[in-house]
Order: sequence, then C-alpha cells, then structure tokens
Amino acid sequence: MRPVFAHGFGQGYDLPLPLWLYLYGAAAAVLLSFLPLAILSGKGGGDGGEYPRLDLLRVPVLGGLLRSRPLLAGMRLLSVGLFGLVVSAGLFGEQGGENLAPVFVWAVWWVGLSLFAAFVGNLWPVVNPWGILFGWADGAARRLGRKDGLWLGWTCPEAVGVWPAVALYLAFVWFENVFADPATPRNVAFAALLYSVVTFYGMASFGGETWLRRGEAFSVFFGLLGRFAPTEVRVKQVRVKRRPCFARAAVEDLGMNLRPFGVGLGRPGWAPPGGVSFVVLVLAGVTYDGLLETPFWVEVVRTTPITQTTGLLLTWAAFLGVYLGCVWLCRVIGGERGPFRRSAAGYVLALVPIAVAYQAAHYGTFLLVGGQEAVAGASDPFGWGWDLLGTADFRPRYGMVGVGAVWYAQVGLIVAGHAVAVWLAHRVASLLPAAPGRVVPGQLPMLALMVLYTICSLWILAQPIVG
Amino acid sequence: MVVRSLGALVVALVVLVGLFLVLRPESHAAGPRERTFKVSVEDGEMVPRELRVGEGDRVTVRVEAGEPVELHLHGYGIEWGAGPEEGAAVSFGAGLTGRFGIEDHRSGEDLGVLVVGPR
Repeated sequence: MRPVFAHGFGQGYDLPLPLWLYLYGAAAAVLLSFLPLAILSGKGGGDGGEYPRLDLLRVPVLGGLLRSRPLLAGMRLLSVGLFGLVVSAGLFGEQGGENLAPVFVWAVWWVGLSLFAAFVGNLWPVVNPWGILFGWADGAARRLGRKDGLWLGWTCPEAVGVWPAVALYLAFVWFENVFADPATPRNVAFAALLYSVVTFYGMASFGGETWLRRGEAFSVFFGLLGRFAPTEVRVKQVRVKRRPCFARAAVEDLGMNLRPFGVGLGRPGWAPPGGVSFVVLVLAGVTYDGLLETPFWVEVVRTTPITQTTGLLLTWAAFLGVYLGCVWLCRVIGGERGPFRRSAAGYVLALVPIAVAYQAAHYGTFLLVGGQEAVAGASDPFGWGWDLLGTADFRPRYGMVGVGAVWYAQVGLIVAGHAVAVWLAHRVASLLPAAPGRVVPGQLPMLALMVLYTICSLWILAQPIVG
Repeated sequence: MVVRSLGALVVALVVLVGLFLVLRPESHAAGPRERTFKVSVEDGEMVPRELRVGEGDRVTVRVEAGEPVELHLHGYGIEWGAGPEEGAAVSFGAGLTGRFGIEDHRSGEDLGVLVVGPR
C-alpha cells in the first residue's frame, strides 16, 4: 500500500531501520539458523503430531463462551452487516474525506484479521461473509425443495487443486500494489462486489465448501496463517478445517486447543496442486509491496502499470525459481527420496512464519493508526457528519509507540519469525525420507534461503522512504 | 545431550546480548535543542523538503510561499496558512517520533516531511 490521497491514508509514520540494527538483525538471524542444529540435531520429534495442547473448551468460563451458538450466530450477523455497511459506504459515501470503507478493508480486515489469524487463530471460516450469505441462500433453497440447494452440479477435479485461489489472490495483490487507487472508497466497494460475484458463481458451480477450500483466495490465505496460530479446532481428536464437520459434531466431541506457535506448519501434509505457488505468491506479494517503496525501485524502474505488473510477476517467478532450486539442492545433498512435490510442499509451510513476521513488522503501525481511524469511522461510516456511536470526533493518536520501540519490535518479530521458520525446516527435513547422517547437510540450502530472505526483509525495512 | 543443548543456548544468548551492546550507538549526549527552519514553497515544492530534528527539540518553521498555501503537519495536527504577502511561522515541541508528512490542503499535494528521530 503506497500513500494515497485523502488525508494521508496509508501514510507511513515509521522511520527506516538504522544501519546498526539492520546488521544486528542479520547477524542474529544467521546465528539462530544454526542453533536448532546444535540443539535438536537428529531428533525428529515424532510424526509432527505430538505437541503440548490445552483444550480451551474445558476451561470453565471461556469454554462456555467459545461454544455458545448464540455468540456464533451473532458474529455471523455482525459480519454480514459490516460487509454490507462497508460496501455501501464505499459506493455512496464521501469519497474525499472520512469514509469507513478503505480503513476497514485495508487496516481492520486485511492487516488486522491476518495478524489475528496468525497470532490468535483463524477466524475467517466463522466470519466469511460470502460463506455465510451463500450458506443462508443454499439452506433456503434446500428448504424450498431443491435437493442440492444452490449447487449447479459441476465438480472440480482434484488436479485443479488451489490454482483458482492462486489466480484470485494474484488479482488481489495486483489490486493492492499496482492498481492506481486502491484506497478510494468506490474502488474498494467495486472490488469487493466483483469478488463477491466471482465467489458466489464459484460456490454455486462447484459447491460451497469445495470452492471455499480451492478457489476462495482468502480462505486459503487465512487458513495458512491459522496453521501458525496457537489455537486449533478438532473434532474427536482429529484436526479439522471444514465448517460442516465442526457444525455437525456433537458438543462433547469438539475441542479447541491451545498449542505452541508454528507447530501447525510442521507436518508435511498439505500439498494440493498450486499450494507451493500460493505460499510463494503470499511471500512475493508481501515483499513486493515493500520493494515498491524503496529508492532502488523508484529510481531504477520507470513506474508504469505495465512495469509494475511485470515486476510483480517477475518477483513471483524469481521467488518460485529460487525456492524450487533450493528444494532440489536439499534433496540432492540430503539424499532425499520420495516425490519432489512432497519435499517442496513440506518446506514451503516453513516459510509462512517469515511472511507472518514481515506482515506484522511492516504493517503493525499502519494497523495501530488505522484501527483508531476505524473507531471514528464506525460512528460516521459514510463521512456525512453522523455520530452513531459517539466516537466521530475521536482522532488517532500518532506516535503512541515511539519510533525506537517500533524498530526493536520490527527486528524482534523478523528474527523470531526466522527462528521459528528454521526450527520448522528442521522438523520437516527430519520427517522426509532422507539418507541417514545427511539430514543436517541436507538442510543447509534451505537455511541459506531463509537467511537470505530474512536479510531482504530487514533491508527493505532499512531503506529510506521515498516520496 | 541436554548439557550440550543448554550450553549452546547460553552461548547464543551471550553472543546476542554482547553483539547488541557493542553495535548500539551511544545516545546523543546533547539534550533537546532549539531548531529553526526557513522554508519556501514554490510551484508546489517545499525547499528544503525534509526537516530533521531530534525528539524533544523545540522546532520553529518559518514559511514563505509564492502562492497562498494551507499547510497541515500530519501526526501533530498543526495547520497554518502562508501567502505571498506575509510568511508565517509555527513553533512546537517535537514530542512524537517518526515521519510526518506536510501537506498543502489547497492543492492536496504532499510538500515535504518532518522527521523526528529518537534520542
């Protein structure tokens, strides 16, 4: 997100990392890359399924709250209502001044929900407005006699995997980074409506749950982040991602566990066609956003939509190429047998913590400021001078967190994300079939890649801000 | 095995802390200062474009403009106008650290930036 017009929306208040802190972060990343090898070497940690868990649903007051069906229904209604409000505000509200739509979509939803999904748990299956609306319409159709509800009867072959979601996520990243005015309220509303049409059509064609799993870009995206999160949902001790399973299960069989960060990424099991490309696209997109603001880009590349689109595609292709090359090297050095796809899919999940850390570091203050702006926006969503909740005059407090503290938080997050990624890569490597004794050397290319990527993230944060 | 792991952890911690203390620059010995900037706005451009101060400095910005402008300093929320007949000046304490844009409300242009570095 680059600074766009009205009242400095998206304007960055952070300063670039000072050189000494950038170097320190890089050194810490390198050091921490070798620490797991010294501590863990050899031990695989089982099949990746064993880690400490605490069932939150058994905790006295909290469990009751989490299980409450009225609460769930209330959240769904709220989500759909907010969706309608935001789209209306974008279409009909004040375009040049205070409008809830861009603030809500970019700060509260995009950054806020993604950080929530990564650090608390994936809330998206509960609040996805498209899923909810389609579910209501589908249910009504079934009650009216149509046996299959709204499903038009087509099936999506397994070989298609998550490629539809890849395409839609690419369109989103393009809209966010290349499109001229992604923060104009009307553009936000139109984009949301366009995406709704595509999503409803996909859900009707291939079945609601199928489309959510394979084609709905944000379900896949938040799902990935949720694997990093310290909570998971289970039915009868089997980890579950699908809403119908969860919704149909008897209350006694449900479990919502607290678990350590990142363990959800440690099992090499998620390997749909297009999965590797999706994760690499997430990383490339987040990095490209930062790259566009660096002097290197602004001065070297003539920024037109064509060059920026090409740049995005080339960045994605480069990341993919380097990643797959690294996986190949790991297999060669480590003597790994088994399908290439399995190694590629296993290691790619280990990159998710790095993307999470960068998202948090890059957008943390944006969320802090944007969240406060949303408080005022909630009272006056259309910018017409209303004051529904009494907060319309609430002005964000800038510099709440001093720049020094922001720097330490950014470097801390990125180095911590790197450490988790390295630990995960080690877990994955020890679970893949490899020649004995070569597990450690076989990880070195992946470690080098992660160090390189972490240093790139730090470099971007250390660049002088242009414009 | 446990001893080796613990040893590795301790060494890592010592190196991390040590490196941090070695690399970190000393904080500025001087305290907050009085800073005054003479700025001119000509053809939608502010010269100098970037104003750098330290946290806690007392900042005065004198503006001379070829055409009438309404300046807004983001973050601090300070607004003041200037025109061809008379320059205008504002004074404030740089209590917030960070990077704050200076915008001309009349033209909607971003003119420049105030950078307040930490002590």
